[in-house]
Amino acid sequence: MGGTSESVGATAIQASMGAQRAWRPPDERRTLQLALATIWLFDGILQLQPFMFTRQFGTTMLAPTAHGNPNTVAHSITWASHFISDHAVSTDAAFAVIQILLGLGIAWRPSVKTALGASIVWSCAVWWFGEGLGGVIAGTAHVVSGAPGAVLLYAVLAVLLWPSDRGGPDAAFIAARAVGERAARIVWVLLWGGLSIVALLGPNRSATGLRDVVRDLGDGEPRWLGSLDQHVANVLGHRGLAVSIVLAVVLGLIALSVYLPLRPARAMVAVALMASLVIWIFGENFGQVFSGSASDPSSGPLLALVALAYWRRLPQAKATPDPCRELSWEGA
Amino acid sequence: MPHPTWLAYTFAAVMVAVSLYCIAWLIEATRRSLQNHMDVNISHVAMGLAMAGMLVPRLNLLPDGLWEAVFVAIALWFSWQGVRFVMHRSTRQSAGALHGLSHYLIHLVMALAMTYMYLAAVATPATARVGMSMTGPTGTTANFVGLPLLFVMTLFASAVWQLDGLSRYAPSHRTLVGAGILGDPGPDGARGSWETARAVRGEAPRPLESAAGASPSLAPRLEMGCHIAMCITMGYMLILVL
Repeated sequence: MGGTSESVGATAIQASMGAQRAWRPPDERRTLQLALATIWLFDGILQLQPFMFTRQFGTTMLAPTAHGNPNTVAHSITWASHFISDHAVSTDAAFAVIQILLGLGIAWRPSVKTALGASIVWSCAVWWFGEGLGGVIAGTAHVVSGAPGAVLLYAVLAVLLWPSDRGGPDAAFIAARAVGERAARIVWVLLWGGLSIVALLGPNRSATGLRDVVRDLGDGEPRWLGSLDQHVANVLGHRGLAVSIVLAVVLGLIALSVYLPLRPARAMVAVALMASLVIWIFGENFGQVFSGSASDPSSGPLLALVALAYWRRLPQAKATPDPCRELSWEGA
Repeated sequence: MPHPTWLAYTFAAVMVAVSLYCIAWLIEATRRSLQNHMDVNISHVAMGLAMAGMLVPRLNLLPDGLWEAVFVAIALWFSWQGVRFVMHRSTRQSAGALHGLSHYLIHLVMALAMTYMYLAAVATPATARVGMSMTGPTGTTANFVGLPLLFVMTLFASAVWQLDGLSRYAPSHRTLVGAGILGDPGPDGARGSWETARAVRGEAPRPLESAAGASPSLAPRLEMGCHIAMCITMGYMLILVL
């Protein structure tokens, strides 16, 4: 029962009396892992919607993501969408089982590392074949509609919430525990800075680009949500460029805030949480889960999880090693 | 758009199995005079049978109106139990208090979710119904589609939380479940690591945190597994009515 402190469920000390690992309630990182597991489980069950078992899943949802991508990428996406269309029931059932198992695997402590690792591989595959690399290369990415591809954020979270303490258990924020503070800060800057840049690319620069994105969300949605979309679209009107500039500035400030002291950093994490919520509600219509054809809740909840992983902790005095901690099975 | 028949039968089979297990649990618990979680298992029997009937209509045992009354009653029961628990929380240990309150809340949510599903099903034309074939809620329930999403996320969160806690009842911890005072060695003489750590520090053993109710749990992992299965199935059915 020995092992390094970095591995899940292992104990650093093997007690001579044959003591067994104690179960400890989830800590902050484990709570975020469970939130990630919940979203994976939700994804898996969404994959069981009737629409997903039809040919239209491949032809109308997957195939269009090939447009605008380089030939190699486009051909692979087209091939995959045809294969899935021709074998709709079996492939969709497999996708659902995989995602449900990922969620349950992350939730069950003995398998958390395996599940997180598998989720990284699966996320990358879906980002390629299912989201067309998020439309980033194709130039169709919208910050308010899921850029850079919601599924990629699952992989990012899997890395940031990996159950290791490379950065030490008393790191400044949760994400720093797994990869160290420096690497975690770089990830934050790349993510939010990347979103800031995407906010000023292609269709985001047009006067009506944002309005068109929001207005088109209303199809197939409940009346109250469709009305909300129409209202927001009217407010955006021809101010798309101005709104995109403001959005880019806010996202850029969020990106740089990771280097700020405690209080301002916490304030900017709160801003990031608000931005995630705004994107999820007004730009993504809760991932369009009410339409009957959503495959995931989109990027909003995942951006919020990322933000929570960077919530600055109060500095604490170094504690002497606690034998309970050494013996305990934190599972995270 | 009707959902795949094989999927409905699969979920229905799981729900029937859960219901049968819970009935067996109730019989065994009665035989052993165990009191805790009786209400949970009774509600699981009802929910399992009701969901099986919604997924595969020929398995439906009661009229929809009667099922609605059953789940309203269950919701009121867990509401009452939750209120009683909160009013008496000063006498509870904090860890047990959190478990007890969440125990009542989640089953209240499940009962409300079942009630909602019957209301949403009633709103669709009867001729369009094939099991749970739904085109989405109509009528009054169409304006409350935010509610099933809230139910779904709560149920899935409960499922993963339970799964996270499953290892608490791993075979190596059998001796700790239901033990009055930690420190009693198990059948194989092994002691719990809490006690070991406390012994290292020279502290006296402390009582095991207690779940709601004083009597020990009967097959807690299976009970948690049933809860997880129910949460996932209920979540699936709610997604169909989003």
